[in-house]
Amino acid sequence: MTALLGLEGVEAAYGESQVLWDIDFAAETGRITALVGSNGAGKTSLMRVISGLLKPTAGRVIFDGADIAKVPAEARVGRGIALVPEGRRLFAGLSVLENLMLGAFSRRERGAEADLARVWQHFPELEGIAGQLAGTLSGGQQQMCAIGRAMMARPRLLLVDEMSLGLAPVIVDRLAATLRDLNRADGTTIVLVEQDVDLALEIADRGYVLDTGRVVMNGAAETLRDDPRVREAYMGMAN
Amino acid sequence: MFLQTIVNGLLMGGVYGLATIGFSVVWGVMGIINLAHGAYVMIGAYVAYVLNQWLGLDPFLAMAGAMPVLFVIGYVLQVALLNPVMRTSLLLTLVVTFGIDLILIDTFVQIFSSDVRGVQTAYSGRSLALGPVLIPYVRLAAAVLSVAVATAAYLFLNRTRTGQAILATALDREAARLMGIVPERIYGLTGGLSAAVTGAAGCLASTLFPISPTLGLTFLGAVFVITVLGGIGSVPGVILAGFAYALVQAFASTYLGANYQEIVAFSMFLVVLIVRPQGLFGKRFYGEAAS
Repeated sequence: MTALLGLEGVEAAYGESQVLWDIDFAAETGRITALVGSNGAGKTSLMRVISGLLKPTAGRVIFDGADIAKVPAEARVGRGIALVPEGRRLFAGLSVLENLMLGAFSRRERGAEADLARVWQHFPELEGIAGQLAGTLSGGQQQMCAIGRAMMARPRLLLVDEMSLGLAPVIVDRLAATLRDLNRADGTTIVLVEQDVDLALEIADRGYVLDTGRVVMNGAAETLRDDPRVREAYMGMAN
Repeated sequence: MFLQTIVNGLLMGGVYGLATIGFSVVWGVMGIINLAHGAYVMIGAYVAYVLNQWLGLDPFLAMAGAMPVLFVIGYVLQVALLNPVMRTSLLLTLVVTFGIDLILIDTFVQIFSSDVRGVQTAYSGRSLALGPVLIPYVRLAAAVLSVAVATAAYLFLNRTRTGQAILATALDREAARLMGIVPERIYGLTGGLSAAVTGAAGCLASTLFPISPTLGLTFLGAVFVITVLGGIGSVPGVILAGFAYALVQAFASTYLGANYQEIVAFSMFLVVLIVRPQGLFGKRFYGEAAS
């Protein structure tokens, strides 16, 4: 299996404060890769590096065979990378429909009607509130809208940062089912950042464990889920 | 006299509102309080004057020439001078825009001198009589065109792909980048469109005000007040606030004397700031750039 995304020796910093050290990471084509770790481990920083919002200070970011480390975020979406950011980051003063259409901005909205139909298919409740301002939605509706907005970009690589944060389990199950469907039916490669380690490793094929800005473990999701160190440190389970 | 005062206020309100749209949108999208904004009104008025003198063009038709000229000026100033400093500090943007304003005013003093000029049309001085109320044709045309251009600006922002990109950038610059929107391009475009709409207001102002290089100073105070009254970044808000501002000015001028119109209008501004700091008409958006 080839890697759609590969990071080699990536380091990153916010000003003087380094947050990532010598990261090697790969997301295989058509697979779901989970990135887990505790608060402050560097998961979101790594997602920002992959999406182009944070420039790495060292290393290479290889996407589809090309080094995109210096490609800005606004150009990466055109190459097929879409991020569902932590906190959803919807445009609160715009409607649900306007938010979704902005997801297709990089494609100049070509064929957006078909993409919109797919979003409605996955999240039918959004269609009924298409004219409602995104800032007035519930947390679950906002996350559906954020995932829908990313779907509108027709990504080859979908980055999902803290999807389950603050949501009811029943909503999280639905969103997880949507990600599985996008992965299996469309072949979308997904990188999933989650504090809910159990959920992440259940959905994913492979996993990486981050601790204080470094990759400390990686392997098949099933193996990681059964690893006593992971169970104790991140799932709150004793050996 | 009461009805005539209302009519006078309403007819002026559209021009004030139109002159404010660009200032308000630039503030809302980029967080820039553009002190050179009044100079755009002045340049629009001079373009109308020159086209009227050289080609005999009606000042209202001159908008078609003024808007592209002002778009280029606004775009170049935004990209070359304001984009590099806009994310540093508010003080720096104030200093830079103040400097641009001085340079533009002095340039026009050099070209046209400080002499006061005016644009006359065949229908200047003629009015439509509705009972006791007189509606000057020039003011009526200016008011109608103001509302028409303001409506076009509103539709552009809310109904076009580029307008949506401008609003998205105003709301969340980083999330906009994730959509494939290049903020620097949007800022240049916003600066250009703002100047173009303001240039149109300048053409209309050329029929109502004496034209001189300091014409913009007459407007700068008004657009600041109207922006705060209407809500930063809100096109309908600033149009309504433009009417409110002009009505207050008209009543103050009629019943207290012309010297009081600014005092009363700015007093209203202070009262609104204290009682309703978000503006009289709320706001469509108020993004990170404006916070």
